[in-house]
Amino acid sequence: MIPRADATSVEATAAAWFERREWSAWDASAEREFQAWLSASTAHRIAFIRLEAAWERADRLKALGAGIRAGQVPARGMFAIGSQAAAIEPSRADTLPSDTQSTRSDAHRRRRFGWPLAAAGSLAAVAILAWYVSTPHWQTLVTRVGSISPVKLSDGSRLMLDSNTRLRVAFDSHHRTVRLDQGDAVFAVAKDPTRPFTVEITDKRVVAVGTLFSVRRNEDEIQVLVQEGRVRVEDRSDPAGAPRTTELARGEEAETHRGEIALSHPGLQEIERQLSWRDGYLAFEETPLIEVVADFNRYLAKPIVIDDPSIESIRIGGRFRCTDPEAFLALLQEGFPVAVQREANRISLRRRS
Amino acid sequence: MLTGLDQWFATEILPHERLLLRYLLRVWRNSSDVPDLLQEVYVRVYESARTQLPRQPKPFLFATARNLMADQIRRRRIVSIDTAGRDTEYLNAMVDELSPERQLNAGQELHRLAVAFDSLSDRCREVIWFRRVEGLSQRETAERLGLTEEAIESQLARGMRALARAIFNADADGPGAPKIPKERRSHDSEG
Repeated sequence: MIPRADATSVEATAAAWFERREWSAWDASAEREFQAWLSASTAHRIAFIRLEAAWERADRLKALGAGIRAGQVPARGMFAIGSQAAAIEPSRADTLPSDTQSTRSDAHRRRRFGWPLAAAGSLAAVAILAWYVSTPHWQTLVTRVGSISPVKLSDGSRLMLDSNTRLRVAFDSHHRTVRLDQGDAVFAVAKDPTRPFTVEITDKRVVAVGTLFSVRRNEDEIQVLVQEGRVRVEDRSDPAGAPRTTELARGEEAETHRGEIALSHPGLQEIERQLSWRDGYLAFEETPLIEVVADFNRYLAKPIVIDDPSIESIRIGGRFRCTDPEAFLALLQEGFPVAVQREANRISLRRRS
Repeated sequence: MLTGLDQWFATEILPHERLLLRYLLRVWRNSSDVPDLLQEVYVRVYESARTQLPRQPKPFLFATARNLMADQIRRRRIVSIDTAGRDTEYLNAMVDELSPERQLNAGQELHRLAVAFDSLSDRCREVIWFRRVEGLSQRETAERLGLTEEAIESQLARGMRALARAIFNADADGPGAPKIPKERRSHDSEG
C-alpha cells in the first residue's frame, strides 16, 4: 500500500544495527555502512530512535536489580511490583485488538501476579519498620585537617580516611552502614554476602558486598571511584518511587551534579592517581591549577588562594606530599609565570609580571 | 547519538504510540496494514518537523494520521465506498474520544517493563539483564554465556523489540478506556 519497506522488517534491521554497533569488530567501515542505512530513509531513522529511546527507558529495569548479586539473573516472576496495574485486569481481554496475542498472554501472567504483588509490598513495609525500630549504635570517626588515617573495622574492612573527614559507622547482623558526613574515604570492604556494605550520603547510597572503592563528599555532591569489584549507587531522592540505581564496575566513576548521577570511565590508572592521597601524596597529570589548589587545600590549615583567574588553567603534573606544599610552590615559581606571596593566614598566587 | 530533532520525536511523539495505534486499529479495516500505517505517520510527522516543529505535537500527530488514512481511502480502489464512508466518519469522531490520555505513572511503567522482561525466553532475559542492567559489553556477555557475539546480537534485538513494545504501545488503560466494537474486531481478524 505504501512504497516503503514494511515496518516489521525495518524494525528488525534497526534492532540488529543497534546491537551490532557493540561488536568488538565494529570499525569505521561498519560505521559508514550504518550511517548510510540510517540516512537512506526517515523510516530507518525513526525505527532506530524508537529503539534507542526504549533502551534508554529500559534503564528502569535496574531498579529491579537492587539486592540481586552481580552475575545473577533474577528468577522469572520475582518482580512483584506495581500492584495497581493488576487491579484493572479483568476488563482487559475485552479491549484488546485481535492481533495482540502476545499482549494477551502477558495479561494472563500479570493476573497471576496479583497476590505475590501485594505480599511483597507488605513485606517491604515490615522490613523498613524493623530497620527504624532497632536504632543502630553509631560510632564516629574523625580526621583533622592535614592528617590521613587508616582504620580497621570489626568486620575486617579497612578504611583510609582523608584529611578533614567525618564518618559514622553502624554494624548489625544484617547491615554494615557508614554515613559520610564530610570528606573522602577509601573502603576496602571485607566480603560478607549476607551483610551489604552501604555508604550513605543524604539521599544517595553506595552499596557493595566486597570490593575496593572510594567515596568523596563535597557539600551534597558525591564522587564514587571503583578500583575493584562492583558497587551500586542508589538514588533515593524520590521517596514515592523505587530507588534509581546505577552500577559501577572497576575503573568507573560516578559523580553527582545537583543530585543527578553521571557515570564515566576514567580507567584504573586515573583512579589510582586520584587515590594517591592514601600514601600521603597528591599526584597530578595535566591537571588545571585550580583543581590542584583545591586538592592541596584539603590538607592545609593555611589555604592557597588563586588571586588571578588568568592562571587558573595552567596545567600541572607531578607528585607531591599532600601536607607539605613547599615543593609544589617552588615548582610553580620556577616553572611557571606565577608569584607566591605568603600572608598571615593564606598563600596567595598571582601572575608574575 | 540522537539529534535534537530525534530527542524531540522520542519525547513528544513516541509516548502517544499506544493511543495512536488504537486509533489506527479502530479506523482501519485491515489490521495487518496498521504497523505500516504507523510507520508512515511517523515518517510524515518527522519530515514535517524537520522544516518546522509543530506547536502542539499530539494534535498534529493525530491530524497527520487522519489525513494519511483519508489519502489512502481516496487512492485505493480496493476499499469499497461503503467502508470508506464509514471509516471517514470514524476518522473525525475518534480523536476527541481518545483523549484525555492516561499517563502511566512510574510504577506502572516499571511493572510493564518487568512483565515484558519476564515474557522473554530464558536466554533473552539473560542477555538483556547482563547488557542493560549489569552493563557488560557484548563480548563480556558472550563470554559469560558461552555464546558468539552474533548470537548475543540476535537475542538482544529480539528482547529490545519486546521492551520497546512494552514501553510504547502495550495496552495499559484503565476501565474507562474506549472499547473496540465487537463487529470491528471480527472485521479486523478477517484481514
